[in-house]
Amino acid sequence: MWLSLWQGLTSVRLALLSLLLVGLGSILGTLLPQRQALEFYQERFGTVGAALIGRLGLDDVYRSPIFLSFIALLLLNLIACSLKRLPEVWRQVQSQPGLEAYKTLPPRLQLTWNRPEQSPQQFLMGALPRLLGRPKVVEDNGTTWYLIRRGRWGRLGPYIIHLSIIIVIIGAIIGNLGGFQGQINLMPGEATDVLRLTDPPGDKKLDFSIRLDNFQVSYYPNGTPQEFRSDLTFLQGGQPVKTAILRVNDPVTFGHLTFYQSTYQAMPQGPVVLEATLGEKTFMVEASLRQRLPLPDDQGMIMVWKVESNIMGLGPAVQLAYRPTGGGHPLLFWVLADTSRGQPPQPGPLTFRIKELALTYSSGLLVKYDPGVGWVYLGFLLMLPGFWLALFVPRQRWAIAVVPQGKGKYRLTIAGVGDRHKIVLQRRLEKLQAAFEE
Amino acid sequence: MSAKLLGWVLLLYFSGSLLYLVAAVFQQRPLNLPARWAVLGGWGLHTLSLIWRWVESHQLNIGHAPLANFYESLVFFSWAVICVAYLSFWRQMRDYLGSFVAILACLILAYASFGGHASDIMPLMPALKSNWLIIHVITCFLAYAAFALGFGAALLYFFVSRPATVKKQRERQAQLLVTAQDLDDLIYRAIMIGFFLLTLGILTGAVWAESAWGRYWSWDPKETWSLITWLVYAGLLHARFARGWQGKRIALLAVVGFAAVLFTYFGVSFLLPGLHAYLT
Ligand code: HEM
Repeated sequence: MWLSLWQGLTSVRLALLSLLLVGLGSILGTLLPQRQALEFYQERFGTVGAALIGRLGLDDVYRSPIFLSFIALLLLNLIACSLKRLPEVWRQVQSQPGLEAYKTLPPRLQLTWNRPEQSPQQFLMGALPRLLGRPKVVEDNGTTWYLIRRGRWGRLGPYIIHLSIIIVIIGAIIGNLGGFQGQINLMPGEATDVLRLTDPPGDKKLDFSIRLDNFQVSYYPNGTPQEFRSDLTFLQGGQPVKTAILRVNDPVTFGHLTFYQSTYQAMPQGPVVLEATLGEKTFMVEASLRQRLPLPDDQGMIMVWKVESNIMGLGPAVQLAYRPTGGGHPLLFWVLADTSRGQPPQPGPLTFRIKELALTYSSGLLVKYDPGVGWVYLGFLLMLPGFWLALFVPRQRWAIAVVPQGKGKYRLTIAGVGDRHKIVLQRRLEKLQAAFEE
Repeated sequence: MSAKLLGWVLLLYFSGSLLYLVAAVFQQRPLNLPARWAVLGGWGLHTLSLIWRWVESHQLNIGHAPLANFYESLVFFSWAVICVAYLSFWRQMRDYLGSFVAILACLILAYASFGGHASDIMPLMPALKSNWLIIHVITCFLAYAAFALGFGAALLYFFVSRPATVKKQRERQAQLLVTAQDLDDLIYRAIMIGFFLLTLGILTGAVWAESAWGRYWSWDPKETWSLITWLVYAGLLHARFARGWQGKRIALLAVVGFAAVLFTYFGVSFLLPGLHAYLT
């Protein structure tokens, strides 16, 4: 019973099954919209369907116990298989097979050596290292054997790959259990020592603080962002200990935390000054961000809803929300600061123009602690030689028997096996043959 | 303009494919040589046009490798198909297989040129400015190309080994100048190369994502589908290495695997948002 369980756990059949299960789970996660509200699923799949989805965790497949158990199965399978096979494989790699093992190799080619000017021994010792590898020479009952073993380390390849996958998965587990991720938003000049955690939500106090000295955005001529850059200072006990420039794709590490440039938000610096026109009349209003402002003459209310530093390549703009008197839905529209190029249409009776708009930015940093990422990268590194050995180092054994026939004649029998790579074996044989005939 | 060169490339690939086909159908083996010259000549021009586009982007002051949008990726994919096929399988690139590879590259390139994709050189957004990304895209597309080759060999395998008497099958294989055995070996070797490159692609993608977004893996649909593709081919290799599958079943898995490749490349971009749109 235990034996068959062990056998099952180490089998390739289980490997295929766990690959299939992880695959199917992954497919489901891409087809079914993930992490939506309960109502979303109820609307589409009915109450029962939504309840089932919730119960099985299909609204968050990749964190669901079922999916994680598939991965656990895969991990277990890999570990079990390695434990079972590795000692034996290691012995195989280390072993020096005796002549008897080579005598049973299937013959591939037979030749008669008929060149009095050179003995086959001389020729083989000269040519073999180049063609097949350095041979071991064994005398046996008058026959001379040239034994060659190639690619013995290739046998280890799959096991190194398996080990590296185990290490990657373990690294991911360590990162998920022991790590955290959060967000920091800073205005230029502002400093903080509090990290807003995203998953699970909460605040975390740091033992140092971080200050944003400057933030810059640059744009291509067509308006797409070219670069975001935050100049940071890390402070300990009020003293600056490190300054760093943070860019997208170029994270900064301090202590065990890593900082990434993640978002930014344009903000008006001081109030936005607007000129409103109604028929013949014009008047000025000063509005701060997200602050309701009643217009004179009972003309309703406006609010600066959003500012952008560059909207579609047209430069800075303000999004206004206008609510007419007597309520109703607020109307949202953009007003460009650059008045030379015309304006998008504005609903409502008033026309707005921007008189003064000074922008500043807040910078959004993603902050991460992941104790597992080193293990993941170690796994990645280990995987490369593993692949090389497993896929591109074919294992072969060759035996060339030289039997003297008298009068300077010899019979040569070339025997060999190779795993998997039939064509590789074939090519070697062709080369050998060509060398002999030359 | 680099795009102008591509017209010639298309023409050369197409004529190469035709020549290979004539060589195969009418048993005119010497025609394989001009066919090869046509395809390789096309590939030379193709390489030139990639370099040219790179230079052009530098002249526009937004210099980046021409791998930044869908159009550019298709052009590179087509280039990679020829590159992988001839680099790994120089001897096998003749007759039907040569014709298949050339016409595949031709079709991809035609789709890039006439499929209505935006072909302007656009500046890169900050997250895409990474050397890891370049290696990532190159390895992924070389992998896709190797898988396409495995797919082509699998199709040919089904064609060669379709039911017939043993005698008839032997005649057929003699006529096609390729045995089922050779094709089986070719499928498997193409997939080994592809699998290695795909693994490299996934790893470099993870390293890039870690430096750009702070997460080496975030289960987004593209990532997930590349993992699914990887799992299919891992399954294929285990079935072959450890359980000794051969022939039809491996060829079938090669087809399934290539379907996963296509879904990773096109389906995720076009169907999944569509599916979401349909669901909402
Ligand atoms: C997530 C992935 C993987 C799982 C769950 C897995 C699992 C297994 C298992 C259980 C075996 C049987 C062990 C034995 O009986 O010797 C096996 C064998 C093997 N695996 Fe994997 N493996 C995985 C990935 C890989 C990869 C990426 C390769 C790359 C080529 C690979 C190559 C092999 C080879 C060549 C064998 C046969 C070893 C032999 O004949 O001794 N495996 N695998």
